[in-house]
Amino acid sequence: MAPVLRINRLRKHFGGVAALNGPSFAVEAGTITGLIGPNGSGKTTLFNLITGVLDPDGGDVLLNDERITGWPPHRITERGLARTFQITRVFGKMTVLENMLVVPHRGGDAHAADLATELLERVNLYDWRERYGAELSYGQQKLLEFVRALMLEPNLILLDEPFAGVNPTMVQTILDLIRSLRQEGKTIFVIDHAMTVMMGLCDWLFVLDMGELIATGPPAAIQADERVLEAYFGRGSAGSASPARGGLPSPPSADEGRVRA
Amino acid sequence: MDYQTLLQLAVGGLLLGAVYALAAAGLNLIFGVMRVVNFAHGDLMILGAYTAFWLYDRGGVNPLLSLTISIPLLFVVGWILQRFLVYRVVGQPPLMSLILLWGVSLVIINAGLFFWTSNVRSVPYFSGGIDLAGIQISRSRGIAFVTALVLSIGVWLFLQRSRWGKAIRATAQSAEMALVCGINVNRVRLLTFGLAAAMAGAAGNLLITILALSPGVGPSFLLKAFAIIVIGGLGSFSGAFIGALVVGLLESFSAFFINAQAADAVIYFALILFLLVRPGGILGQRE
Amino acid sequence: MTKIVIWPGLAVVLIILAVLPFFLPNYRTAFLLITFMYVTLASSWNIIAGYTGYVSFGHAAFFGLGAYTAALLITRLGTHWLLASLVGGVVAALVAVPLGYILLRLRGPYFAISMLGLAAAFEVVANSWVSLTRGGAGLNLPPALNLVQVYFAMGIAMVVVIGLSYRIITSRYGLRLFAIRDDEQAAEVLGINTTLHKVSAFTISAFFPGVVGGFYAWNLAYIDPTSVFRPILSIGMVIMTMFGGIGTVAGPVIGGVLLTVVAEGLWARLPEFHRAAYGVLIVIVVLFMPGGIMTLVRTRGWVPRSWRV
Repeated sequence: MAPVLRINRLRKHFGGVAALNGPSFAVEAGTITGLIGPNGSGKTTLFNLITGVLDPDGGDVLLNDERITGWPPHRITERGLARTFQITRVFGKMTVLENMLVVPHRGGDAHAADLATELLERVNLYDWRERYGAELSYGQQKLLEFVRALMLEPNLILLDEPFAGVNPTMVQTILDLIRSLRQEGKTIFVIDHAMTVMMGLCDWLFVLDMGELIATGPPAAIQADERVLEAYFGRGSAGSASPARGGLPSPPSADEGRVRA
Repeated sequence: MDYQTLLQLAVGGLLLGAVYALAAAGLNLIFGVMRVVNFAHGDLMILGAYTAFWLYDRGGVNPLLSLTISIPLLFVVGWILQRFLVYRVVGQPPLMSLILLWGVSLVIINAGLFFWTSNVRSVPYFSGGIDLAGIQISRSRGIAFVTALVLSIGVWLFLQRSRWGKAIRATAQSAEMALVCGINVNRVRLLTFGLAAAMAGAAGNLLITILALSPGVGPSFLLKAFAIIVIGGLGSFSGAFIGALVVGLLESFSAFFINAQAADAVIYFALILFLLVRPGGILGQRE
Repeated sequence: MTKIVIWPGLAVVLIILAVLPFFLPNYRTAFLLITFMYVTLASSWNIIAGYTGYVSFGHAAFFGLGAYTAALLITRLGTHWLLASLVGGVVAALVAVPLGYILLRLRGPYFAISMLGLAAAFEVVANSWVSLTRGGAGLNLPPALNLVQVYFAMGIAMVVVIGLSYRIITSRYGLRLFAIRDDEQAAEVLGINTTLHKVSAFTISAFFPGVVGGFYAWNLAYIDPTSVFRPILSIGMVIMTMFGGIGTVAGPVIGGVLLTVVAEGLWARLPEFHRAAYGVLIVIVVLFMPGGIMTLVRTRGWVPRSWRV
């Protein structure tokens, strides 16, 4: 199985802080791969670099062996990559259907409408299609963002915390969706903190800490890995004085006056 | 083109730059604490300038003395603007506050034109100059420079040492955290706008001793203040001085080699250049 | 139900407007013509600001550019005023392309300010390039003897831009512009080529002001840098659109008509307060009705909420 995504010594810093310190790894096609690590370890930054939202300071990103480093996002999506965001970014002032149709579709507008209908029905949002994005509940927005990304008919889907703040029923819906996508031969790369879910869902895991890859392997191996435990719970995990690392904010995006062209 | 003239221009520009820096630091303060772009900042400067003019015109008052009036007056104006208008748009995208203050700017300009007509005014209280190693420094520029410097240092000390100053800096970092720490964020915002307006007023007060101003030129100074912040480094107090150096020099040289109008155009282009290439400014971050 | 009334209603309005100049005294025709011009300006501005979310504070730059291009063609090459104005629009559009490509990288407030400076910079250039523009002395054009012709020119420009606004707002292209306005980064990540969309919207929004700038120059038979790059023009575009309802098709029309009427009636008598009045209105609109009249109309239910128009 060929790797669909390859990261080579990717580096990114903000001011003096190194958000990513040169990790390298590959995501295999047709798998559900997870990316975990304490807050501030660089996971979302990694996603931003892969999807072209940010440019790396060093290193490469390869999608299906094609170098996409530094490409603008809309060019990368043409190559079959899609992503969702940590905090839902549904277009609140548009209807659910419009959210789906706004995505450029290869087959043209007519086909887009068919695909949108199919995807919305799959997640029980079809009846909500005329409602505005802002009217949806949080869980529904997460679903909408997911299927909206699927309008791109991607081969690789990056999900940034799809389970965050979502009720258990919705978690199941999302899990089913992810598994059915794998069934269709797609690759899913997921960031999340819901450990039990991730351990049960993923075929393979990468663990990031302070911008570096500290562990990689199947869930069973990761759960037992000392370095991982230390990263999450501090040195000498049990009852140590060092504070839990869970609450650190991710590095700011630091571009106040400029949008990426 | 001889060395002497170049140096002369440079010094003249730098001296003026310090006054601009005082105003720019105020603009920066508002942006830092409230994410609001005070589009009326240049007009607040003009209000301060015209206060000095009015006092000079009516009573021959020394413009330095006028500062004791213009500073508190502009502080109150700033306070009022925040209290009744700006506070409503603080949470919203910066564009809304921009447009709002643009509206305020228009009102101020019109009021100024109405009361004082479009004639340019000045306060030529300090005449003559000093000769410093062959360079002529007009007294008004020199005095304005020193005063601006003193005031800027005063504000800096206030922000660094005093309780309210620290409260302001804390709120600039994170309003939520400040709230949690028991800081009265609303009061901080009122104070910030008042302080920034006072700084603008003081700058204007000093400016009118050097240049002749009409009520409509506020936007031109807003441009300069904005350029100073962007070139020097968004959010950096000392960056404002670097920016002031650059803007002062640009203005001085452009005005001499082309004309006064062109100086604004040159500063504008420099602003755009920095926004595109180095939005963090000279002292700020690269991206 | 309301839909059945709209289209014939509009047709009736157009017919009336087409016939009016033959019955009205010149000064009223001139007033209508100016109203058409402002509606065109506001509607054009709406495309980049309302639809795409990039609020420009200096759109008069394109108006003036078109005016000068047309005036120069008319006076130096004897070009017919209609053609000259169209070329003015094309020139404005062509300039907008590289300009947009550069300036649209700037976010919200910075873009607004950069456009403000642009209009001022154009004014400086027009003033300084005396050999071309005769600087502050301005350009004199041959008199436009037929007011009705200019009336129709302005009217047609207005109808075209309104029609185009409608076509855009009901299309996928327009939907994508709204996506950019809503959340540009999300739009980008969804595969929308935001640069292409922004620049094209900007270009469209520059074309029409350029054209009516030419008509304006022809009508007035005289232009100078101050009159065509005036901040009050840019301000007017902003406030008319915002007052009427930014991001809608009807907004700029309503705002343009209402404010031109008010301006003529009220402020013509008190010219010193023109700016202040606009300023106060801006403050009121931003604080109390940022969505303009159209939003008020919508909340009252006079217009179905689902309508983008």
